[in-house]
Amino acid sequence: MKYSLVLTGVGGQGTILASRAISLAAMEKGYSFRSTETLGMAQRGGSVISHIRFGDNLYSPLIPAGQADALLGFDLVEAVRWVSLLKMGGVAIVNADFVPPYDVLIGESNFDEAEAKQYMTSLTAETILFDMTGLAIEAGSFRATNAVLLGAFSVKGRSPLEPELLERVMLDLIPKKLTDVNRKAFELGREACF
Amino acid sequence: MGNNAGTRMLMMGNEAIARGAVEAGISVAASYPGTPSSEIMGTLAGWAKQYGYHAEWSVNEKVAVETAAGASYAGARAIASLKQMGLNVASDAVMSLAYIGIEGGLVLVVADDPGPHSSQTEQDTRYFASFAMLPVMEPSSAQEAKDMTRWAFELSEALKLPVIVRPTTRSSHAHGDVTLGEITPPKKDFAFKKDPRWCILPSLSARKHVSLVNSQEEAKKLFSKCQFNWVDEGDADFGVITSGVSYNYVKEALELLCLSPRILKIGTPYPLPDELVSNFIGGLKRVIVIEEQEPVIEDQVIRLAWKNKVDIEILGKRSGQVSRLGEFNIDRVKSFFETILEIPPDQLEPISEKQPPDLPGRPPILCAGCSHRAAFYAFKEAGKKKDAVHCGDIGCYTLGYAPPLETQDTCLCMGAGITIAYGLSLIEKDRPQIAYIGDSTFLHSGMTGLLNLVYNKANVTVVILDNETTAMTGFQPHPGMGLSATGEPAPRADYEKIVRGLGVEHLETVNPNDLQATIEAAQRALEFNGTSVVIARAPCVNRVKSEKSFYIDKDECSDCRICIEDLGCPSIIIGDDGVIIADTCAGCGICVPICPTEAIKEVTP
Repeated sequence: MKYSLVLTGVGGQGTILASRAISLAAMEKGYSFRSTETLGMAQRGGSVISHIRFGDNLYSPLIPAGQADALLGFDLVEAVRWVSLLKMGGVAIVNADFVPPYDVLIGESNFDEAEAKQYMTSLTAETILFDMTGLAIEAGSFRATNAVLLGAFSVKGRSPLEPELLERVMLDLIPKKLTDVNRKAFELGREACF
Repeated sequence: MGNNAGTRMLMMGNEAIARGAVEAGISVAASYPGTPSSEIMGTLAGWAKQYGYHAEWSVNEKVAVETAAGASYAGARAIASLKQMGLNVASDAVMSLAYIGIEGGLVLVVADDPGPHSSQTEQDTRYFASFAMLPVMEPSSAQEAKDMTRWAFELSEALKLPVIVRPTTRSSHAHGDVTLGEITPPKKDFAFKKDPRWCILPSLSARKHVSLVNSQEEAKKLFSKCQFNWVDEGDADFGVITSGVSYNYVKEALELLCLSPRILKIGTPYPLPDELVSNFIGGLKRVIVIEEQEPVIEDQVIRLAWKNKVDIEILGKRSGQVSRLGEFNIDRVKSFFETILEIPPDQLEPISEKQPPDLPGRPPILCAGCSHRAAFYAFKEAGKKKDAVHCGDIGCYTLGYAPPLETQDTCLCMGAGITIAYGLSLIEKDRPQIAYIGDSTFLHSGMTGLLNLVYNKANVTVVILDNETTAMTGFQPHPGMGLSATGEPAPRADYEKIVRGLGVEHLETVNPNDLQATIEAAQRALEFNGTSVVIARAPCVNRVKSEKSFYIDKDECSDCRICIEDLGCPSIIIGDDGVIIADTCAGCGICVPICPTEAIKEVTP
C-alpha cells in the first residue's frame, strides 16, 4: 500500500493544520509516512502546497506528476494549478470558492471561474466540487474551511483513514473553544458528499 | 517531550535535529531564525528547561556561532543552527574556528534552500564546508537528521573540529516517523582550561593549518565506516552515487523506470570517504552521480578516479546531463536517468481532454492589516515628488516590492538597506533615499550601518518598521520584545535610546496605522538635512488582533477602485456587486482616509 495526497491552497488558509491532521491519523494507524509543506515567505498569502504520503516503500516526500491518489484544494485556482500531480482515476476534492489574486482584481490577468470549474469536472478522475467556504461560514466561521475539506476527504478520499479518526485527530489540534464550530464544519463537509 | 527511547514519533526534520542534539547531551544551543532552519531552535527552546540546557535566540548568526564556540571551549557540547545566508554572516568566526578547533562537541546545523523557496541565494553549504575544511553531513530523512546530529557531536570531539550538518528544505521541512534514542543529560562540571591554543596568532595559524589539512584524512577514514554511508545492492551495468534528499528521488525514479543498479548513498559529502567510493567504483564501467545543487561529490569522485587511474565514465553535472540548478524531485531525477541511459521518456497522459485554463500567479503578499503597508503608503506619498529611492531589507516587508506599493527598489541581504541607501546618496545628492529595516533585522545588522551614516554625515532617512516580532520566520522572540527564547522576561532593547545613542538627531516614532500623522512625519524626516530616523511601530497583525472591522457603503462608493489600486490589501476585493471588504479584514482602517468618497466605514456593533 502506498497512498499519496496533495493539499493546495493559499497561505494562511489552514493547509498546514489539515496536513498535520492527516499525517497524525496515518501515524496512529501505524503507517510509515513522509510529508512536506510550503513554509516561510509563501505563507504570506502565496500559493502553498503540502505533499503527504504513507504506506510501504516510501522515500520521497514530494509526489511525482500523475501519482497522487487525491488532490485536496482549499481554493479553486490553486487546485487547477497543481492538478497535474493527480493520477488518472484518483479523486479531486475541491472548494468551489477562491481567493482572487491581486492581478485579477486590477485586471492585469484573467481567471475564468466557469471555465476552471468545467475543467475540474472534465478530469479522468472523480471530482467533488462544492462551496466549502460557505459551509464553513454556516458552521460558524470561514476559518473552519479546512474542517469542511477534511470532512469531505473522510468520505471521498479513498484512504484507509476512518472519518472518526480524522475528526478526533483534527479536534485535538485546535483550541478547545473552536471545537464546536469545527465539529459542525467537518460534519457539513461529510454530508455534502452523500 | 519525555525520554521515550524506542518509541516512534511524527517529527519534522528540524524537530528531529533538535531531538538529536538533546540525545547528545548539549549544554548550549544558539540560533538566529531563518527559513528553513527556524524550527530547530523553536523546538530546542521548548525543551530547554526540562533537560537543563541553555537555549537562546542570539542577535545574529555570528553571535550564535561564537556563543556556542565559547561553551565548547569550556568542554561542553553546543549547537548553533542557521540558514545558509546565516553562515555567510558567521563565516568570519567559522573559518577561524576550523583552525582553532574545539573542546566539547560543536555542531553547526546549516539549512540550505535549493529552489530557492525563501532565500536570496541557492548556495551550497557543502562547498563552504570544503572551503573551510570542515566535515559536513547531509541527512536524507527525519530519522537520519536525528541520528546524524547526535553522531556529529562524537565526530566533532574525535576530530577536534566543528562539524556541519546540512539539511535542505526537503529534509528540514519534511515530516517523517522517527524512532527516538536515549537522552543524555548534560554534564555540569565543565571548566575552561587556559592554554595558548585558544589565542589565534599568525604563528599558531601556520601550525594549525597543518593539522587542519591532516585531519581531512582522518575524517575520510571515519566516514568510510560510518552508518550514514551505505550500498544498496542491485544489478545493472552502471552504478549510482547519490546523497541527502536526492537518495529518495533516486530510489523512486529507478522504481518507476524498473531499474535496480547498485546505489552508493553518501551521508558525508565532504570529505568524501575515499576507501568506500574506491571500492564502489572499482568494478564499474559507468557511474551516475545524482546530487542536488553543486557537483561537490561528483568532483571528488572525478579526482579520486583520476588519482586511482580507474577507467570509468562519470556522468552527472560535469558531463552536462544533471542540473546544478533548483530543487530536485522524482520527475526531474527520472528525466536525468532517461537522458543518460537514452530511455525514451514515457509521456504522461493529460488528466483531462480539455486544456487547463490560464491561471493568474499568486505571489506572497503583505497580510490584510499589516502595518508595513501603511508605512510604505505614507513614505511613498511623502517621497513621490522627488522620486525617492526606497531601499529594502530582509523580512516580511520585502513583500513591499510588489505592486501597488513598490517600495523595495533594492534588497540585497540582512542590514544592507541602510548602507545601500547611503551609497546611493553619495552619487545622487538631491534625490531622497529611504531605507526600510525591520525591528529584528535592525538589531541583527542595522545598527552598525546606522552609526556609519551618522559618522559620515549621510543624508538618508531610515525607517525602522517595528512590528514587535520576527514575523517572516514565525514570530521568534528578539531583544526588542522583552522576551527570551524560552519565554522568560528579558531586558527590552529600547530602539529610541539605541538610535539616539548612535548620534541620530532627527528621530520620530509614529503609529503607521495613523496614516496622516505618518505622512507628516515622513515629510519632516525627508526634509531634514542629515540622517533621520522614523520608527513606525505597530504590533504584527498576526500577534495582536484589532477588534474593529470595516465595510463599504454601497451608496457612497463611486467604484473608483483607488482602495484596491493604491493599497493592494487582500481583504478589499470585487464582489458580485462592486468593491467589498471581505471577512478577512483585520481592522487596520488605513483604507478609510484614502477613500475619496468616504465610503469605507467602521462596522458598529
